[in-house]
Amino acid sequence: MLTLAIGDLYIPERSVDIPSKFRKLLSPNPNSIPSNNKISEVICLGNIINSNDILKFLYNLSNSFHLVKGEFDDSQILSQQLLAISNKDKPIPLHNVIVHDNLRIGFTNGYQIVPKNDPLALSNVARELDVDILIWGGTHKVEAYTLDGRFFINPGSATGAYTFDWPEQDDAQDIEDESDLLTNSIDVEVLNEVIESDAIIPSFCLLDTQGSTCTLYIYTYLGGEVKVDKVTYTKE
Amino acid sequence: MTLPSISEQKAILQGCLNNINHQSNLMKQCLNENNLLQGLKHCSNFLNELRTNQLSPKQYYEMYILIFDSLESLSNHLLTSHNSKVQKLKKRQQQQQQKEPGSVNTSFDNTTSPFLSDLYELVQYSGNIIPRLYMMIVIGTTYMATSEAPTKEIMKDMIEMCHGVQHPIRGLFLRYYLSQRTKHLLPFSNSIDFNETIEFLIANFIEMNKLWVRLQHQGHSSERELRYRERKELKILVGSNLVRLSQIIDDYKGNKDENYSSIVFYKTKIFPTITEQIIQCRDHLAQSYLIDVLIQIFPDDFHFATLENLLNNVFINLHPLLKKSELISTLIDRFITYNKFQSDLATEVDEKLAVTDDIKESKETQSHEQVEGEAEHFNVDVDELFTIFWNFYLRLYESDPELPMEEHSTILQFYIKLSLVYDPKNFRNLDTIYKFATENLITSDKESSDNEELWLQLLVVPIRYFKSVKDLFNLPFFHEFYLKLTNKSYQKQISLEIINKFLGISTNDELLDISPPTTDEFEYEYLTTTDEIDGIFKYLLVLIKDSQQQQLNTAKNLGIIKTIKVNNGDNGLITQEFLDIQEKFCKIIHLIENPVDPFKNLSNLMYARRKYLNKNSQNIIYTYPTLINKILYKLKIIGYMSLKLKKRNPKVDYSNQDLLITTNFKNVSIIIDELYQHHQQYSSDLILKLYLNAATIADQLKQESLAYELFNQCFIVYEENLILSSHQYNYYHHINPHDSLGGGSLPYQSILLIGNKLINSRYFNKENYESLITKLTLYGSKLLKKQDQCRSVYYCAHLWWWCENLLPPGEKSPTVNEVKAEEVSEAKTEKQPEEKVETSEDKTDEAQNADKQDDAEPEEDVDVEAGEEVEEDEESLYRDDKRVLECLQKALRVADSCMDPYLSLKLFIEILNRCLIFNVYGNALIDSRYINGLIDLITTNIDNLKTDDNEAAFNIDINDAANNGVEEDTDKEAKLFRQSRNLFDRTLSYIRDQQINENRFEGIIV
Repeated sequence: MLTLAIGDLYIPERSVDIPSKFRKLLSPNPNSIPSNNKISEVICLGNIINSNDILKFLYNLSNSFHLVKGEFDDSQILSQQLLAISNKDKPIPLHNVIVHDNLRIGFTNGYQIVPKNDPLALSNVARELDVDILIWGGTHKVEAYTLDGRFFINPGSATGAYTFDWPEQDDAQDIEDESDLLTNSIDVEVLNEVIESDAIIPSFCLLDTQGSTCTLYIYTYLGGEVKVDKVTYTKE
Repeated sequence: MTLPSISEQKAILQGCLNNINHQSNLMKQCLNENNLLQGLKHCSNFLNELRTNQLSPKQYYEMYILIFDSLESLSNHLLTSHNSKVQKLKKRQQQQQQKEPGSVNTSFDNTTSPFLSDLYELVQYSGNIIPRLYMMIVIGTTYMATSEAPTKEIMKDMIEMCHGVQHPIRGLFLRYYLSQRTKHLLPFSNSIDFNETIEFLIANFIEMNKLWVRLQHQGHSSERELRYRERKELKILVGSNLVRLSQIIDDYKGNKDENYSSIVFYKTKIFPTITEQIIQCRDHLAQSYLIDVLIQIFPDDFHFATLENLLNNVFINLHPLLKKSELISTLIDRFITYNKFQSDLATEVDEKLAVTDDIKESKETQSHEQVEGEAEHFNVDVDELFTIFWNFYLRLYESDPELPMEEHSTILQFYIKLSLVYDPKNFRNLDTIYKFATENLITSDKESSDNEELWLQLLVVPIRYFKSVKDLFNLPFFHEFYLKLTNKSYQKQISLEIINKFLGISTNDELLDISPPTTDEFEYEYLTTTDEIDGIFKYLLVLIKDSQQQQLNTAKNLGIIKTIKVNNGDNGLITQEFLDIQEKFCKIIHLIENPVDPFKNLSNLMYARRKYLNKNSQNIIYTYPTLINKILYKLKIIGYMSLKLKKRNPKVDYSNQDLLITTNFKNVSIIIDELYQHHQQYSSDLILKLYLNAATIADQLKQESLAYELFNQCFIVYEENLILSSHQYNYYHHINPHDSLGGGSLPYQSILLIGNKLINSRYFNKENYESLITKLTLYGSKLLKKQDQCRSVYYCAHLWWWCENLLPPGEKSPTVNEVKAEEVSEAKTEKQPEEKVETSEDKTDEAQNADKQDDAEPEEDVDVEAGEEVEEDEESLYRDDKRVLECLQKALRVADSCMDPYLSLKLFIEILNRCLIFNVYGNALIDSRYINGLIDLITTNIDNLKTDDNEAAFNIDINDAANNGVEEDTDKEAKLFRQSRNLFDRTLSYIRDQQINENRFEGIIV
């Protein structure tokens, strides 16, 4: 069965919308409910911020919607919005666990894991929740790896929202540029380099779970095109 | 004269129809028997029925249809017998010719025509005028259909004779019959014929119109309404003449007369006569219908040619009660359709032209400097067209001060459409409309505010039609007009339209029957200058200032509006609609963008805040976070750019940029502070996060003092508000103290947030860094609840043990450099104390250990890529093993002091897990001995807590584990105990696993 993992949307705080190609891909029948009959569950890692529209969009994708609170979510407003959409008064937790066949899948936004994004700290969380797969977010960087027999998935940010974390360090040494530059003027080349190194690629993940195996499809949006990568994990 | 009742009328009609059928059958019999005269007698008999005046027009029409068909059969008979006679004659002549070839058809004309012409003369002796005229027409027109008839004389004769019938209904139908019969027989082979035909049609039209108008005045005045309805039913009879006229003009191609132009002909001959007639009749129905027909049936070119006349001489002089707006709308709709057709044609032509480049180029050079590419294909000048319409409107405005506002609104709306369709970039005309409307139509008195809904449309149409919202900037009076709307809700409606358009949110266009040029994919437009910001935001001000909180309470109490509680439930209510608008505002803030000049971008964002966003301090809580984060992100970009430039050009002085960055950080701080001043009661946690973001960026950009100050701000927010708000945020529902990830009190969560940011700070000097982290740890140790205390302290231990480098290659953290320096100096002063040696040896051992571990699991850590970097780690990462140990010890003490033994146990296990992390990361003081001690402690605790009940529950769980644990037991403690033991088991098996697979945790006894 297919499960969508998506998070860190930051609408409208840091982005305007998810790429329209993602929208079309995720919701092939926008007028019916559910709008995607292939996805059976949706896991949202929070940081929706304040967009009732996107909340509805995610809620309507499948018959089952799981939401955890993100760092910047106002859970008071968010839970009332969700109540209005779903008619179910459920608190929005910080983490949750669902079970697919032999796989226990845990998910959390991860902003309260200290140190945030540390593999050992995440492994510790997975151990505490007793899950085989841990989905976490908060870094806006899509990644997936296996550690200590468990599978760790970060679906990144579906909107490519910017972060205030340290940018990726490129190892390429800076070329010595001796050309005279006026102070205070903007070097477009340098500006673009900086923007590029700090840019976040919009992404989300689809988990295809069967028995003890999870096939992960990583969707990224780069240069106007959607790219898909595949990773497989099997529980020992 | 009164009409019989309806049932009587029906009976009369039935009688008439029966009689007609009967007589008509008799006629056909006679005709079959070739008894023409007797047949005409029967014909005259049924035509007599048309003399009645007791029937309604509809019933009369039914009769007319029946008679029309019967007369057709008469006409057909006459035509065939005529043709057979001609045939016979021809044969005879041919025979004669064969006999005497010399004499050529001398008597041809004389011998053929007399049959029908005699008949035409004959029927004139018929006694009653109605049958007489119908028979004259049927025979006359049959005669016309033959090749040798004197067509024009017959036409003239017939139309003259028709004057004899002056009864409106009878006359109308008679003339209609004439018009129907002559339909295909009218001559126009040369200009004389053509002119006479036109005169014939116009004459018939004029007479019919007179009859039609006269019908209104028949009968009792109480039946005026009825008359009016009847006339409406008859209108098509009159209109058909105009249709015929247009067809004839269309068919006539000038007959080799090169000077002939149908447009000129229409303009000089037809238009004046017809319109004069329309004006003269002074009849409301006739005028509105005929003008409509006139507009619909004649080609657009004709209207363009006569537009000025039509508007200023015709429209103005029409019946005062006639709605000019309807006429204008018909006319403009026609022009719009024409434009669409032309532009479709033009694109087709363009495609064809594209094949042959040369032709296209020559075309382009010919074309005038028109904005729109397609415009060259129109021979209509928009400005001229608009001016004509506009002058008409001005005359109308002056001549009729009583004109209702609906009329003004509708007419102007159509003018706007016209201008938009013909040239979307022509703003002058549109602005003329808005200017006039602002100055003359809209006033602040009460009456006009009732009419404001009408004006809404004037404003909405261009917004939807424009390709870009920025087009509005070219219409200064659009805004003036907008401001004149006294009803704020209308202003808001317009503002929302603008926002939606700007954000590409489509609205269903019921209003807009003209479809704007469609674009494939919506693209956001950026606001790059303060002028553009003003251009959009001046329309948003009404929404920004809008505060609905007060009214909502009552509305909510009455159950009218669904609301959302804010401010922790204390008197704060908002609607989803309100939130949606705030969301849109935030999106617009994102569109204040300048991809090439971040400095300008920053000042623009500040400008938008200063001039617009801060106008309602209540709502800034929804918009400021977006603004602040956007500014911070821009600062981040600028900062990194500046760092990069400095690195590349060490000799250049960048102090200017530095100054700008510092100033902007201070500005951000002011903005956050503004938010804090107004919203500290309920939104301190959000404000804390904003400060933290700012502090992080300041640190990354090596602005140490700023970063320090910003972290200080965080502490202030914490101390002033967050520490006090443990009781708030009860909407988390129940927080399970045993759940280490389930949240906790607000101050506890705040400490984690701050801690996570401090861990990643790299440019503090050691003293500052330690002062910050010590303070934070102290906060943690003072939290109210034991579990919060314990957890925040063991989390804070990480602050003394960095794991990631984060810095760009070649950079060194000042926090660490000082540590090194101190260590070196310490080592020099204190001459080899034994402990020191041991620890340093341990350290190197650990380092080697870590080295191996890192090699064994390359996927685990992104930062550690090669073994050699571990050495570097030791130098580049701030680490203080003693402080880590102290924290863990403190956490243990707190855990031990819990009143709840189960919670104590859970916390012990959590600390054990934490110790494992530090062990892996190479903290020599958290060694196997220490961990073994902890494991012993936990085991002892478990043994102490084991009771029979618990044990039973635990065993049940183990048995049930396969069945996915149907949890029957309600014993809460037993459940918690079981969960803790399970976690402990998992931890131990993790250690075993690592010992086997990764060579870690040597010496730990499981």
